[in-house]
Amino acid sequence: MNLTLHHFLKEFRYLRLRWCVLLAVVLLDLGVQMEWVLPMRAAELGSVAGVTVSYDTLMRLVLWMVAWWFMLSVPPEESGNDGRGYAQTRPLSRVSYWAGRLMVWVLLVVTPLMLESAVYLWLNGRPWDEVALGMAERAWAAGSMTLWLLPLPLLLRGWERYAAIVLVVLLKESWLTSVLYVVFKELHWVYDSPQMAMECGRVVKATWLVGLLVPVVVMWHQRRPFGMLARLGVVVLLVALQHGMEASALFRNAYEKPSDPELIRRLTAGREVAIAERDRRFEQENFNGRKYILFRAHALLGGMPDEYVPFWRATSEAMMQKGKAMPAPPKGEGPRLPFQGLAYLGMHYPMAAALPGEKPDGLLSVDAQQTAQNMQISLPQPEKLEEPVSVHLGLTAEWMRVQRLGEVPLKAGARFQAPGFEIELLQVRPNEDGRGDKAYSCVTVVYRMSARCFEWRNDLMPLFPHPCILSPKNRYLWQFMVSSGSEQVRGTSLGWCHMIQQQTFHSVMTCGSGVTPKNLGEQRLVWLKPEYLGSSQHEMEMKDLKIGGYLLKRDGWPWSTPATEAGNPREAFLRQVRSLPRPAEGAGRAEIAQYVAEVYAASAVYIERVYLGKEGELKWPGNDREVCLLLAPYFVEHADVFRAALVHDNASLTQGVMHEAVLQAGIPGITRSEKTGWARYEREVPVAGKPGQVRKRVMEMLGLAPWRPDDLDVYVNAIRRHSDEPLWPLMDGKPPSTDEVLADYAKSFDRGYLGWLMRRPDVKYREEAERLTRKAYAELPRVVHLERGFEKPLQAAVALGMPEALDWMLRDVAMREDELARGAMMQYHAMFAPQDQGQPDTKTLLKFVQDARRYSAKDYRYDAEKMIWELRPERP
Amino acid sequence: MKTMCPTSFAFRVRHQLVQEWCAQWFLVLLWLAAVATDCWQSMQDERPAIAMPGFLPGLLAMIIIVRSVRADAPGNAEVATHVRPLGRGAVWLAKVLFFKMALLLPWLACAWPECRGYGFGPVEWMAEIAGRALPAVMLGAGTALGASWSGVAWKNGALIGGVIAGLGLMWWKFGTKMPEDAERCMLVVAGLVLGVTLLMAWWQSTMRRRAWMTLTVGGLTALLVVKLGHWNWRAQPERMYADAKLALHFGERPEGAVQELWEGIYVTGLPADQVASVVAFAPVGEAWPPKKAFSDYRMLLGESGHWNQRRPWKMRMGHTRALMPHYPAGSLWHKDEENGDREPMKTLQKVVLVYGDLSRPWRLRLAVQRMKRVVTMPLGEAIEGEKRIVLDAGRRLDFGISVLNDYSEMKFWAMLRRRFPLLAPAGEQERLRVAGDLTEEAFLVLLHSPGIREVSTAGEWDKGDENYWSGDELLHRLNNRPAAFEFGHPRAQMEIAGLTFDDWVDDTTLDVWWPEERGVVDLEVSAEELRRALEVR
Repeated sequence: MNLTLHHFLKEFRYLRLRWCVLLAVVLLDLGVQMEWVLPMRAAELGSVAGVTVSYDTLMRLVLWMVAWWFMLSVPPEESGNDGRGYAQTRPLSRVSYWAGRLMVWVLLVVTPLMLESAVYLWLNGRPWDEVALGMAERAWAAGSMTLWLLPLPLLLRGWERYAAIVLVVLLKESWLTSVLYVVFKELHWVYDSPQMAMECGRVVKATWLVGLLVPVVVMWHQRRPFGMLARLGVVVLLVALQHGMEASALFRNAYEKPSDPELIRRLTAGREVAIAERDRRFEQENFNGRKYILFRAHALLGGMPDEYVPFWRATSEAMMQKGKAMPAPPKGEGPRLPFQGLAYLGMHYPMAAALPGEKPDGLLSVDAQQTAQNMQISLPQPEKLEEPVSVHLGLTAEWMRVQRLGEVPLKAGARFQAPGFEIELLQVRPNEDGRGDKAYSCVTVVYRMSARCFEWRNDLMPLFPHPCILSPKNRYLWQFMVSSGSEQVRGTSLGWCHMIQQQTFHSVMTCGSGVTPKNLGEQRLVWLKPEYLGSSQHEMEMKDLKIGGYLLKRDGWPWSTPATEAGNPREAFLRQVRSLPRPAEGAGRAEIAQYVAEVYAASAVYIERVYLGKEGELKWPGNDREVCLLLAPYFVEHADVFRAALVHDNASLTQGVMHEAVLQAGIPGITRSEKTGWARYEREVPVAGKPGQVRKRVMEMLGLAPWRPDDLDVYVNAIRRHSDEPLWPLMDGKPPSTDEVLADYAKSFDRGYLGWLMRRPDVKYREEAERLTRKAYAELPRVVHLERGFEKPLQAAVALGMPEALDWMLRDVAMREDELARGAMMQYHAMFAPQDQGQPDTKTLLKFVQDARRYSAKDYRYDAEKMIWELRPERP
Repeated sequence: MKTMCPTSFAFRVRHQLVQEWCAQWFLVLLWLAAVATDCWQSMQDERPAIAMPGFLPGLLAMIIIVRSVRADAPGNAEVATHVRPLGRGAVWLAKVLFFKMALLLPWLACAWPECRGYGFGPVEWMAEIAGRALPAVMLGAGTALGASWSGVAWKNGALIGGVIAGLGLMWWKFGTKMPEDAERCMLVVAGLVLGVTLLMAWWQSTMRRRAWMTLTVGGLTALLVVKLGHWNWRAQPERMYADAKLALHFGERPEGAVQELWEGIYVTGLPADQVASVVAFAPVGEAWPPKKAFSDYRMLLGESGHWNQRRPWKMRMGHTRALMPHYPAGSLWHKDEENGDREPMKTLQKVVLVYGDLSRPWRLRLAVQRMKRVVTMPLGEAIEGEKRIVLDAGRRLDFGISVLNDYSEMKFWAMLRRRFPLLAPAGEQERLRVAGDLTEEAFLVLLHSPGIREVSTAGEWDKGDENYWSGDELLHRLNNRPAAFEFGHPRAQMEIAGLTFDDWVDDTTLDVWWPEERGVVDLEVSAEELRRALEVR
């Protein structure tokens, strides 16, 4: 022991100045982590988040570099002849020598670092058990980072030690990462380099394992000495090995374990995967020249309680078409931890239903994506997209449950404490975005969060807490936010970290939300903590699936606008058409077709002439009659040319040409309408099979739509025969059966169909329509503004007299801008009138929007007979 | 005279040169491989997945120099030079020649593959070579001096301290911001002085003479040059517009050829083929041209006063209109992007709010451009392979087809490459500066199909508010800016008149147009006129 102590003291005498440097760096690190030096500050108004130094990471790098330098420092006589000479010539046993060196490591390196942890945690007011845990974790980390350097001075000589430190830092920083990334990619391994700030656990474990090789290498070197390049090469190799292991899926951080896999196993047993038809998206994709189908969906597990949120991934996918198996899709790299997808859902998944704790009835998410796709799977490419396929999927669901971590009123200075968390709201900036610019309806919050972040007791990871604004009175939840400001964090390696976050919520103080700068203090800033519970395995079948029907068709003409004309597009269009040389008398089909094509090309370029203004009026008043008159002479003779044009005619030019041609043909009953200027038809015609009886047939406007090109032949036929008889079938519509209407309703939830079904005498249809409506309503995501395809069930539920649906819809309408009142047309119809009563004017709709802000569902009563809602007379 | 006599100076130099090669050939080959890889990497648009670290050639060169110099350094007591009959002068010269041939020449030779195809003239080539040689000589001579000197601990410490202090001084002086042209010129002169000083000091050190005086005098001279020097051979005076007399008109649109800048504000007197863009607008009395310049080239993002350069700056319809006389009348001109005819009035209101001063007259600076056709080629040729257009010395536009499919998409990728030695006098393109910065170029590509009487135009895709980066380093400008031009097929003609894709391609030519700067002109706006213009809207 005396010799051990003696050797330690000898080393200490040599190292004391260097130790002072190490202590100074440890103290500096403590100062930076405690914010005595370079304190964190909220981003100043108007400052842009730019490249800033993360002092936390920088100090960690400096600290370890100095610790490595200290560990590699030995008196010159000890490392001479790679250590062999010293051991052989001194009266010191090998055991005493290494015990002395070990004392240097324990007392001069590990102890100061452990003490730093203890002092830091004590100064932050953490309990003693956490102080002890912090010291233990620091010893564990310091051991992995420095212990294996103990024998390294016997391998590296003189300047090589400095070169090795610089080389390790440079390699880890850039080159090694790219090399290993490519190697892993080639081997189809998951490459996930740990984040320095929060993933120390994987680094430490990998380093412990690789560090064991250092003594082996040193012993080898003492038997068969390496050359200089080999010595440095071995170091590079060990670092590469360590980096590869820490970036692989071999190690997990302690906090990555699921918190309650048994609960998930119990809850998910026997349940089926459910994906509503409108929640499915298929896209044609290409990966390195190989086609595949990307399937995205919002998938649920039937009957699973709302508070459990899944994220899905495929474990197997098989597709059959006509009994033949399709080749597997190309495999991309997945994340190392599949449940990390849940972090994305925290922002976008509508949490109104999943929000735990006390919440107002009918809470709605304002800005969440109602179709937050929690499933994204690559499917094989079928041989024929239009033919049915059957798909069998093996699925894994990763489950999250959201906890309500805490909440504060939305005013600066508010704070709360929870076990493992402390949050203080520093600033609340109404009507301001993250750059400091004025931004209507935005609220930017700046808060300081401290959290427990030990490797073995981590409250921050793996899924970060997510702030939301909750308006209890108005029953809205804002959960989408944009982070800004520079990243500022301290103490991540010491078990208790601090960070300043600046986040902006949009559309909070929008009209109708009820939130104003004055009552911001009445709103709550709620932090949700997603908890990873575990995973479950499932299977799913999709039969007779026609993927082609889902794919977006891209067969329209390319969109283009005038390149030189900024004025009235109607006049410019006319000018352009007039400038075109007309085909000569008796010109052939090709010449006429080109002329027509030139006119239609110009029509597409000047399409803005038919755009409508806010009131539904033409932005550029006028019509294309002159152009139609120019084209009408060719309509009958070259009907095929116009038929080809009709499919892409967004300006109804073909209809105009047809009207002029029909008017010129002298067909009985056809006149120009004084009201619209278009051709109309009105005539008393004999009733078939009833001689002497006549009936009046009326068509206010002869219709011709791009999706019904066959109608064009009818008009051509009528013109050729100068007879109205060919037009009659266009006016004879056969009414669909009740079963057909019900089937259509089950797909479309059209309010008109509902009204028709509810008037059927057979109660079976009424009950079925009501059942369908209630079921679809129950499946709707609880968000304010429902997307196209989702809003129909809500409107049908309103028309059916469901007050909770009315409450929802009124709050949706209330949050529309006055300028966008016309967008509330469908909601108006759902509440007050069937669709066939014509469109309300903008003034009526504006009043509807303003009423929605004043009144709630209780202020209306339902007239079941008429299926409409009326404002109670006793209300103001 | 027998120069190759075994005792002659030339023979001894050659002998040492061979010695150097024998001792270092492996590292030199490694260095050549590293330089070649670095050269190849710098010519790629995307960094390879496994990229060679940029510091490696420099590190290898330093290792070669240190090994070579240390092998015969006076401070190295273990070497045999002290007793070799070569002479220190011969050894020093042999090493200089060795470094030149093995390190410097390959390094300079890389300029050829990297810079060819950029339209360099003799001046640019010389500047490029000098710009590569200067830092190499400084680094090499400094490393050689350090290696020659090193040995005793205090000397090593002093050397490391000196290097760190020098780097710290540079950091403190310039930070991450690149110097302006005037500073750059002085730095180059100072660098030249310092390079010669280091070389001389190394020679003196090798010859076992004291080098402190040389270093002190050289260092002080370099500092004095930086502090007191006033050379700037890069400066280019602004070109004032002289083609016509321009004036501003407020109110109703006047008769004749005018260009509307904002609603109700017109510029008159422009020749038909020229277009004006706003460079700066600020009250009289502010520094001119102002740093906070509102313009067509820069964008005001919000009340917080963030300014970003538009990438690329927005060409207006006026630029397209200026091309119309070059094509048959009656053609249908169309495009697939939104670019207005004039700047919205609210941007003018915003900039007035920033200064908040309507009591003084304001000054408006306009830059006038004339559209210049840089290339015309059949579309069939353009969609095959990559095309290169040299715009002027140091600027090149590369483009080629990237998407051509059944969905009527025809997309050209483009890359504007700028590579210019900043030791050379500034080119014509640097005459126009906005708020002190160089402007980004903009291009207009169009397809002319006379058979169907259509002209389809495409400006570059707007890249949003990305920050402008000039690519200026201390001695070089290197900036590759990607762009894309998109066109649709003439589907109306194809579906109605049966035009085939091949017929359309055969009938179509692709033209690239570029606005050539004609100069700037300053016009004054009275406070009353400005107030009225703002109130009316």
